[in-house]
Amino acid sequence: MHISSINVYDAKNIHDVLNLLDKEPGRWSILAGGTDIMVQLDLGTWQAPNLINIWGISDLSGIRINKNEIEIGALSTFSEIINHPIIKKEFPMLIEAAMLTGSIAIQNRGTIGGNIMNASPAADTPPALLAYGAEIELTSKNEVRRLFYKDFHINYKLMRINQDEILTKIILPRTSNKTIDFYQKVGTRAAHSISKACIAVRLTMDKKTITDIKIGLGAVAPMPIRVYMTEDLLKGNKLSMDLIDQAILQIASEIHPIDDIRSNKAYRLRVAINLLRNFLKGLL
Amino acid sequence: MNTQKIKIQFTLNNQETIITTYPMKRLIDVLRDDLHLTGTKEGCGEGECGACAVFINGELVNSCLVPIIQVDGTIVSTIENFASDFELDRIQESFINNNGAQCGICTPGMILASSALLMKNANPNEQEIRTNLAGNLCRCTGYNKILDSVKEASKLIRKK
Amino acid sequence: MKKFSNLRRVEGKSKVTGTALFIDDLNFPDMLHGITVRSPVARGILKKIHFDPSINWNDFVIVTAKDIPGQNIIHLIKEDWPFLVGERINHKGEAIVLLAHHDQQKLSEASTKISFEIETLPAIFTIDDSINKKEIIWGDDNCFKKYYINKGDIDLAFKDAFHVFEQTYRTLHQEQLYIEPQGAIAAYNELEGITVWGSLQCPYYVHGALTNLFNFSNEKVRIIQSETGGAFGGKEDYPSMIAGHAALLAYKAKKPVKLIYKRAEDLQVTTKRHPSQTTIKTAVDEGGKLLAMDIAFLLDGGAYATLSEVVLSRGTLHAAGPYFCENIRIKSKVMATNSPPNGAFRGFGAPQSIFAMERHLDNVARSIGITPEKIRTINFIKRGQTTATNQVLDEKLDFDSLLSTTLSKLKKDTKKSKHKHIKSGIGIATFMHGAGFTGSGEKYLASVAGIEAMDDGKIKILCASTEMGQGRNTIFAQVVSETLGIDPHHILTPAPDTLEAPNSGPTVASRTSMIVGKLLEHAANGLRNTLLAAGLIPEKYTEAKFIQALKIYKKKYGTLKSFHQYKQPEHIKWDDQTYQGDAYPTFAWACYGAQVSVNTLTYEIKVDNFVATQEVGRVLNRKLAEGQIEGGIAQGIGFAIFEKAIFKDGVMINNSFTNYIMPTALDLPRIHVYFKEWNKDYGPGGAKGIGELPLDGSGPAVINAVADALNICPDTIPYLPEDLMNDMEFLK
Repeated sequence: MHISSINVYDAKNIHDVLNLLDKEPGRWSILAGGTDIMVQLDLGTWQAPNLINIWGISDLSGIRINKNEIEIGALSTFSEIINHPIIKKEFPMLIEAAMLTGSIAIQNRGTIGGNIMNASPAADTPPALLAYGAEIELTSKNEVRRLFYKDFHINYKLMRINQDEILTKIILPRTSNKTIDFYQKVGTRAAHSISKACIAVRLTMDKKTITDIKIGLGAVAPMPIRVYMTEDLLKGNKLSMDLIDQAILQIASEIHPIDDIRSNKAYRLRVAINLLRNFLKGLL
Repeated sequence: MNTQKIKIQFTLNNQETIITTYPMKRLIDVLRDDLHLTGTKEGCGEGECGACAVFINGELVNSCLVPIIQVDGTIVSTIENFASDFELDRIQESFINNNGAQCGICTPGMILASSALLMKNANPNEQEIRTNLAGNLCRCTGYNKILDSVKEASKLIRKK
Repeated sequence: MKKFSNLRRVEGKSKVTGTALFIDDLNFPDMLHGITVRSPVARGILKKIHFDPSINWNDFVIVTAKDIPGQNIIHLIKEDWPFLVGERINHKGEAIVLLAHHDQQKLSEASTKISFEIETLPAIFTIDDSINKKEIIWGDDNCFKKYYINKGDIDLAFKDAFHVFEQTYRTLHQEQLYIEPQGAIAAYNELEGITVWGSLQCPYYVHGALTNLFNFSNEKVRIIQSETGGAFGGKEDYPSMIAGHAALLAYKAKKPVKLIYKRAEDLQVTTKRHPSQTTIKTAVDEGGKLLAMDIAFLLDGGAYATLSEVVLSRGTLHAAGPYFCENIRIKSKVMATNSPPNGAFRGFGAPQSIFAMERHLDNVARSIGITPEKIRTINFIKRGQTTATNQVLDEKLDFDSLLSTTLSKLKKDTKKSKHKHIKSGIGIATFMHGAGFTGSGEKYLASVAGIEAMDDGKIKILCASTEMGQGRNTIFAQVVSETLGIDPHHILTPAPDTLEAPNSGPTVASRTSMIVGKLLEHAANGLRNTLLAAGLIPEKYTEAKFIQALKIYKKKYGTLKSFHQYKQPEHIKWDDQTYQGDAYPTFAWACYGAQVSVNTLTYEIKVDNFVATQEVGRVLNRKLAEGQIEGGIAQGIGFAIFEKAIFKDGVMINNSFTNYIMPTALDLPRIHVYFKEWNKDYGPGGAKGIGELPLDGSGPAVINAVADALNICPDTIPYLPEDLMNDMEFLK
């Protein structure tokens, strides 16, 4: 679709957006930082003719620190997140993921909400959000609702969002427990790359027993996923080489990577396994 | 069916600029085609190579990924604004001194990215320079001479 | 003589300020834009072109093969490559229709409203299918060219050999990935004929192609180079195509037409490095001395011959490496497949065959239990010995010293990793690269270059060599100013314009500094002698005196130009028929070393250190020379472990910067460059060619280091983490 056929509504505030979505649900797509849409437009693959420009709406950006959680406005750029001292301290995997998303010029423009809504299975921040047990806030004219992010993606580019809703916040639960984080992205090169496999783990341990664990993965399924059965297997049990081997068998059956032009199924599977095993072995 | 063109007003290289165009037109096309500022280069059209880098409100962005509607009311600065009429910027001088520019097509973007780095960190180490320039692809130099250029610029800036 | 070895890049200011004008930066009044409509199939017969009636085609300038006034063949070596499909389609993406219009939006819409009726024919995409004649797609046997080199008696040598080792090595396509896409602007009027501005390496190639395309006399075609944003061989032959297309549209439109490729199109249709398959069988004695080498070198040429036979030649001539062996046989062929023609890319066939030889030596060394250094040291070619073509090497030649310099710098940086899953390895490659054209190439070219005095006392360089980042402007300004004893700022280095620049040959083959630079040195001496003879300067003069003399001469006689034409030195003997003799006037000699770390969890390879030692005659300008070597090594590292062009139906399908992976600043180590300056008999002040050299040894050095780290034997590049994983699984 050529730019001359794209109709853009320049929203001034969140109410503008919600009213329009309410009035004509399904007609509008959201334009945030533009880093994905502009590429598709230039390649001629973008097909949605009506956009609402939300860039610059201050209600949608900003990072708020509450006692028990951190609220990140969906329009916050990766750079804003990277430079936030409290996120840096408490949610380092999100910082790492943001720093590995594109280049600095992309990080200055790309938004965390856009990253989630673009719903690439290979996006870098979703595994971290999944491992942190993040929630998201979806807003329509009539309702503000919260959803666990783990329940948001249903299949490839298919999400639990209504046509009159917009993603407004990402909420990270703060914890005072001593946690262990592990994040690793394996991309096509050291920087400015698309993920071939990505893993994020947050866990808590009591002596050698894992008391809680969340594992988020990217580029190994049609969408960013958690591996619940692997988590369950590890949770509550004393960590041993045996347990790790069982977890590896489990995760191998729980992820479904594919062959594509960036990598192949066998590699993605093997790397995901290697990274999890090596991380867990380090905890023994 | 064609959509309405819109009026966009912004400050470009210290000058108030008004243009009327399609809202999703890329900033790079406005700069190059409508305003004839061809110092900003297009290498890939997908935000990968960084040759089209400009500053918007002081932040480095790829102008091939910015729709003009999002430029309304902003301050844009391009390579054309970098040197004064009489004197090159220290980063530009350093790139010439160190053979940091070979074919020259990535150079405007590389210089802007270097400037973005040196503004926030006047004394970056080699790894920091590499990280900050990773969004700017150069096929000629292998980056050695670009790193040397940024290091020299960093020295000149700190000496001031 | 005053040296200007520290001369800064003369066009540096225009590049750092963004004022240098690349092809897409140029615009002309009433200019149209062009677009190319291409074949959707790899092979077939074009029956009919449909123009969808929903478009008012009268609005558009339309060109098909029928509109071509002259020959529908790009004049190069073999006459087989059409500008536009007439009847036969030989690769997907082959140009069929050209359109031009003021409005780029209308143009891109209209281009989707053209469809083709094609009788599809079966296509072939591999060297094997081509050799086995699964389909005959070119000539009688799909073979564009073959060479045969024989030295000694290899059959006898293999008979009683202590150890015989045979293996096949492969390299895949590599994209030049100049950051500026290809483009051209053409204008036509009856008086002046066709003028083309373009991003290009070889103005006279384009000139020759266009005179044939239009059946115009030489004067009716003018080619002007615009600032060229990287080329690396990729803008050697293809600009003839794009310039031809723009010119056909301009000729029909009677208006200027600009044709710039989008990146996706550029990657899909322009030339790449030839994929190769090299089988090497060697015999060695107990100590590792090479007794015989039997080499079969195959290239995938794509659908048309283009430059393939010359690429094959260079690959063939470099296949035996810098090793002395009494018995050598090299057989080589370049085969046709139904993909866009493969073409020139820095190194020009040599990186492919050198990769094979350098991997092979490591494999042989390992199998007989000696080190990679040892097997090389035993076999290094020495002064007075002969190459595969029986060329006697007669210059200082000390590979041991190149090797020891490289090893000393490598070892210093070696550290044991603290992570168990990180394995470290070191690899080397030793190699030579012939400078200038192969064999009789320079003799046939008989290049001319010159200088002209201007009214203001400046000296203008007249030659067809192009600046594309490698430093032509600076080196030429330096050579002429050093020769004349005046400051370089007096030298003008305009981009070539065939109206005034003589044909100094293409800007390829590491020949610009050495061959054309030397012509300019001669031309400058000629100009000085003219002034001397006219009594305007004494033997020893000041710069002011010289400039004054120029002005006086100009006033008195009108013009002052000095040209020089290349004459092959008598001692160079080459036989094109037998492929025997002096393949190159001289070589650059080199030893490269890489230190890598391999992550055995993710299979990622990181080059931690790279050392490049080479002998290149006089280093004219250190920073420029280093820049050439460093940049070439970066491309070589990309060739080895990053850059994989994925092909389907004969065309690249990862045709974007996102999916074709070149190294960023974070993917490369600091590259350490060391020069030796032993032999100064060739180019200006004794300089040899260096441009292509770094591509040859960087790939094998890196892969040899990977092999060393993990005790595996990679035989194909690019070698990606996925390949490494397979090889490691195989070991288990």
